[in-house]
Amino acid sequence: MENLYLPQLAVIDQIVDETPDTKTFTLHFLDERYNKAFSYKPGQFVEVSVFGKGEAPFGLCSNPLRKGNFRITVRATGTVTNALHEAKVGDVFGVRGPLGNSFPFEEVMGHDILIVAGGIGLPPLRSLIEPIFDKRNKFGEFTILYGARTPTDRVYKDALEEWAARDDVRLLQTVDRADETWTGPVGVVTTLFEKIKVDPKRTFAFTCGPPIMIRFVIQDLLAMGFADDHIISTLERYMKCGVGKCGHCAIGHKYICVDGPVFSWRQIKVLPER
Amino acid sequence: MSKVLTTCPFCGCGCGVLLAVEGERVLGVAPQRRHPVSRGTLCVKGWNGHQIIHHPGRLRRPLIKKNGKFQEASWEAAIALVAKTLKSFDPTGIGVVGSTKCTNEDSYLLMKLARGVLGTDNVDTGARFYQAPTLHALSAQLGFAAATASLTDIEEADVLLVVGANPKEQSAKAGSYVLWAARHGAKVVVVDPRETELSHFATLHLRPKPGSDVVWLNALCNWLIRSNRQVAEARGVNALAKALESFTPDSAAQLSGIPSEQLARLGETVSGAQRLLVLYGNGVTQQASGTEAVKALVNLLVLTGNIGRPGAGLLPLHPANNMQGVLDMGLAPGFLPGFARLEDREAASCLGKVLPSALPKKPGLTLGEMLQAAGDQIKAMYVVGENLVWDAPNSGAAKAALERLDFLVVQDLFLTETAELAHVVLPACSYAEKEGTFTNLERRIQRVRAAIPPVGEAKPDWEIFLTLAKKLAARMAYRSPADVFAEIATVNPWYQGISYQDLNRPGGVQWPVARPLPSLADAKLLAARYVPPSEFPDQNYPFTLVIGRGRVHRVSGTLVSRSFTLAKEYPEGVLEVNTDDAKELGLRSGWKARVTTPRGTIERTVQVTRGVPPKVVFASLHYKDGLTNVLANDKLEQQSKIPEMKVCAARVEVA
Amino acid sequence: MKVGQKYTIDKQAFLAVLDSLRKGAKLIGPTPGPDGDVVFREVASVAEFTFDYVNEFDPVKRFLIPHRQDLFRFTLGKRPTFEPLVDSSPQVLCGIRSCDVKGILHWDKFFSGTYLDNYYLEKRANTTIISVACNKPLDTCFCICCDGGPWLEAGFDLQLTDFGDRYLIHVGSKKGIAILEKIKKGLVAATQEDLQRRKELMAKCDSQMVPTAYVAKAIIQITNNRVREELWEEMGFECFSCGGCTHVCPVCTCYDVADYMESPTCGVRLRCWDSCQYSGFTREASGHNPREKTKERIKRRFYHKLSYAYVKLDGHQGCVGCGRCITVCEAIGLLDLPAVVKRLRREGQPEPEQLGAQRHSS
Repeated sequence: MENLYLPQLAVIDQIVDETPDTKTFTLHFLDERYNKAFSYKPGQFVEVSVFGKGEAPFGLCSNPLRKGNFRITVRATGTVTNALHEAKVGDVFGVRGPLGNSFPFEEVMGHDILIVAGGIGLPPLRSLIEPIFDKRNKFGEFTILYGARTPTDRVYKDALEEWAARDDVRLLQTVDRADETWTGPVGVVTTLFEKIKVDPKRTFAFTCGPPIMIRFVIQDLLAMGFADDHIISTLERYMKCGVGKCGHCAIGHKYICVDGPVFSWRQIKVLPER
Repeated sequence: MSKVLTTCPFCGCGCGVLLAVEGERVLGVAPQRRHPVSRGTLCVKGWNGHQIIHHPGRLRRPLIKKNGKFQEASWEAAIALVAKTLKSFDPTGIGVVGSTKCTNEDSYLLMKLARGVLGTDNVDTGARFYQAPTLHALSAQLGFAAATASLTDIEEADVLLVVGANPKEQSAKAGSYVLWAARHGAKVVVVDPRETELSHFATLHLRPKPGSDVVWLNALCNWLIRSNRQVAEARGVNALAKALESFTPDSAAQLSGIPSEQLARLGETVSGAQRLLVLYGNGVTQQASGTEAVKALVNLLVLTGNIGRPGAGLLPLHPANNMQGVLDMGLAPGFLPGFARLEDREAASCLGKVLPSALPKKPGLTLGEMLQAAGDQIKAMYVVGENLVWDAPNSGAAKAALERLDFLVVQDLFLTETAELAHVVLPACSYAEKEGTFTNLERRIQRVRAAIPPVGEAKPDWEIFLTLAKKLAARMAYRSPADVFAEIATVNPWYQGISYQDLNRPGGVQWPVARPLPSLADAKLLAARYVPPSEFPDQNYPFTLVIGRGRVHRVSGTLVSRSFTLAKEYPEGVLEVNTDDAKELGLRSGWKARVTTPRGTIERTVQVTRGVPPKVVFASLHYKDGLTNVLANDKLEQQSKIPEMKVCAARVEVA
Repeated sequence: MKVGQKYTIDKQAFLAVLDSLRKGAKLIGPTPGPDGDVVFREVASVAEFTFDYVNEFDPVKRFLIPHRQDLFRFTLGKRPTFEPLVDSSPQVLCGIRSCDVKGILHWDKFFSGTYLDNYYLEKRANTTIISVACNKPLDTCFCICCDGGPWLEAGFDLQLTDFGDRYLIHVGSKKGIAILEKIKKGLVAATQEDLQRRKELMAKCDSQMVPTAYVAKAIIQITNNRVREELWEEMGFECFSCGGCTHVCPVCTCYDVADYMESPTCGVRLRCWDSCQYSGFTREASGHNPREKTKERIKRRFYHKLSYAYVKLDGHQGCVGCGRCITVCEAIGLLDLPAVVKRLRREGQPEPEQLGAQRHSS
């Protein structure tokens, strides 16, 4: 019987500082065969072990269509994340995954796509954004809204610049608090809604970010006329095993780690607690 | 897998637990269904505390500090160094500190080592910071310093007075019985400036100003005497009445903030009680009138005739498992085993017979005094199982005091903040690795059993004391804790007639068995004086800061923070701020506030609540997020020398 | 010999066979404990067993899901190595009661599915269950309300019914058949009379159950969120958040994971019982806690135990009626499952007067 809890060893190829407390790590598995066979879908996550400190879940933020390595973006908030932040290129960690369900990708082809991300909620959505670019002709209108606390709190600044320069996507950004470098809009991400035009019938909206932001985004999307199953979000909970056994991430009878993390509003709204 | 029956060490209730053991490891715990008190229950600490036993931080070998760095050493080398160095000091310059997590046998041997081998009466424990007033007041009034009631008496009482304690969170077994009683018709009176979970079930919740317990208690006693409701057996009523003349309902209202009609209602409730039981905690003891307040509580029980009757009496809620035991063993300066004073010739000669050398003549320094005299009179300290840097008030000063010592030995499970300052660190066994007895808050002596061999090279405390005594060329020979207990039973009159064998039955034995507890007629009414807090709010420090333990604390957080489940349960301390004050200060729940007292500053996450009165803030004890005790007042109360840790003046700002 | 068949045998003859099982496995069963209470532990001989006992308070959980279980040992280094610590040593659990067997059946399902928990399943595959149908219920037992006993029809390898000098043996599995096949003589097919006697014993045991948990109405109340917030709040005030109810529950399985270093370079990853009644259970690294309030955690517990969503998922309610939560609860008599079921059942019931008024107006 396969051992659910034994990680595979993965080595850090690259570390990018995103914000003062966030870094992106590129890793690949040491076992070549495993690395080759490793595939995942947008929105899935991995459990990363820092031996001696523990294990924590991270959404994959790399492009699932590109093989060879994978990326996670980590904000330093606890024991494991702090330890990861001290890591150097070449350090080896344990990784289990991919785990969880995924964003519908094939299913939403032919539709317009609206991405609404807040702060550290952009990383999991990036695993969807990049494959959409790869198969851009299969999708209709493509809009990305991104809000962060301050300009420096934005992750993937290079990618954002690149997306902003593309003409096949509309990227709007806002910050809660501007600084002298910021010339864009100021305000919460939902204030960007009035600057865009979407056809709720033809559009799938994907949103990820702090729980309070998601709540307001969904409220606005519903008001705009989005159907319950055209609103796709992710739920987050303290998580340990990632395979539906430890019990921590249960909401109602759903386990975020195996039934999620991706849920449509239709699924979320019937849960007994949110 | 085997299951070893033992006693839970995480609060004073002394619940029965079974340790699940596989090989040399404790895998978990289970409650003991047949335990007469705990009856198959455990609190969150009991269920998860076992995680400390195999914590990675356990000390495995003795450490000797060389050039500021610890190096592992052999037991021979460490003990030789400790013996040689301690011998080089004048006995009055040595301070010995025992621990409330040690067994009675450990504590007794440490007492002997200090008094009979090192020749010093500077011998105290962490109990000083919590229950010293109980020792001083009760031994004077009742002739013994312990609960007059049992935990199961709570079931029988019809009125329960809970003063300065939060048993539902901190002494869960007591809290469990109180909740049961409340749900089955007993009247519960909670006296606490804060709202607690228990006050939700109270028929009456009085919220005195912090530090004013003597005032309302005296006024209550005065009210009882004036309305002639005292029992006939109470002696010395007239003298008491005279002493309490000035404590009228009006003056009490002014000083304590309790309206006179509430006081009258309390008077009606307690005098109408068939069986009145008083539970009190550190809220009463850790203040300028700590000893006086305990005296006043005893006065109340004597006046209403609630001493020596089933379902009535006094229960001090100890925050540690063997706080009663260390007091019983005479691990307090000036007190011999059985609460006799050092000056008591008969008791002294009884103990003298088993001591290797003569007893010190004069009472020594208490723990707080030792710290104050560190580097001055006190040159060396031997600290067993207490993390003084965390436990002591004004932690900054306490740490500096320990740093002033010429020689510091710390004996503990972990390299605590205190151990880090030591010159020699001796690794001790946890409760799962040693034999002996604990005495719980209701005088119940219970067995502690070794479930696994010592972790690493750690040794049981009693063994370490014997090795050290031998190195100091003193004759102290015992084969086992059972031998030590047999001697205790000859020295401490309250333990007389109890054999180690008797303790094997579920729940052990409650002392005394060979003599009765003093009755109501033996109890003395002693007028309690009001000593106001040494700090009142002023312009610079406009708030009254109350410091208390969180839900999972055992004393301070040294042990519990090493259980990962408990550490997660209460990851950081909170600062409770009254809603109106928060508005004025511009603070919201979840924000950080800076709290400053004349001794230091800490930052805390704020919880805005109506649960604390205006102009009072409550800070729970620490974890990794900074020591709350940095703020606490280390001014010593006059009689029992307990620091005024509960109440001080503070300033609160947005951080 | 077939599954489902029943036989009788002389007690001593059966115990001799039981004793022979020690050769290849740990023999675990009820023994007199240190304080006279029964304790399940490994024995060196069947003579150590006591079969005249009320069920152990500490559930057999520990033998399949230890309080602390080491998952693997790791060695730090440029390339860390690890060694899984799966314990699959054979064990025979003798004398466990039906309620606990029912709990094991729940875990069998829970730890399987898409993701197979090999730590549990490998231990389980090497576990033989010889249960003793309950003839001595406690005053806290209510298994008849939860289909958890006192007799079961399946789930065990062998189920014994105590006939005094003989056992009636109910064959539950091939493992059970293998054991019975070791018996050379004395095994006789149960007669009509035997079956009648079994029926009478069952009825007698049923009649001794005191507490009740009529869960149907409670399931409806919870599923439809018909419970007043005030009731949850009240229960929140009463709860001590000790976690005892989940720890002793033969159904509960939640665990937390931690790494313990055993030396500077070597450590273990372990799992340890956790409880949904702890505030730390859902608190995130950021400090945000979706179930900060005690009432939310109690609500969660009973949602898991009684909601229709879970009944559908698991095939039954999350309770086997062992009654341990009655004994373990610090809020004595207020928050154990039968007590809460009773409180939930009364929710939303119109007062008698109101009922009359409604009739009148219609």
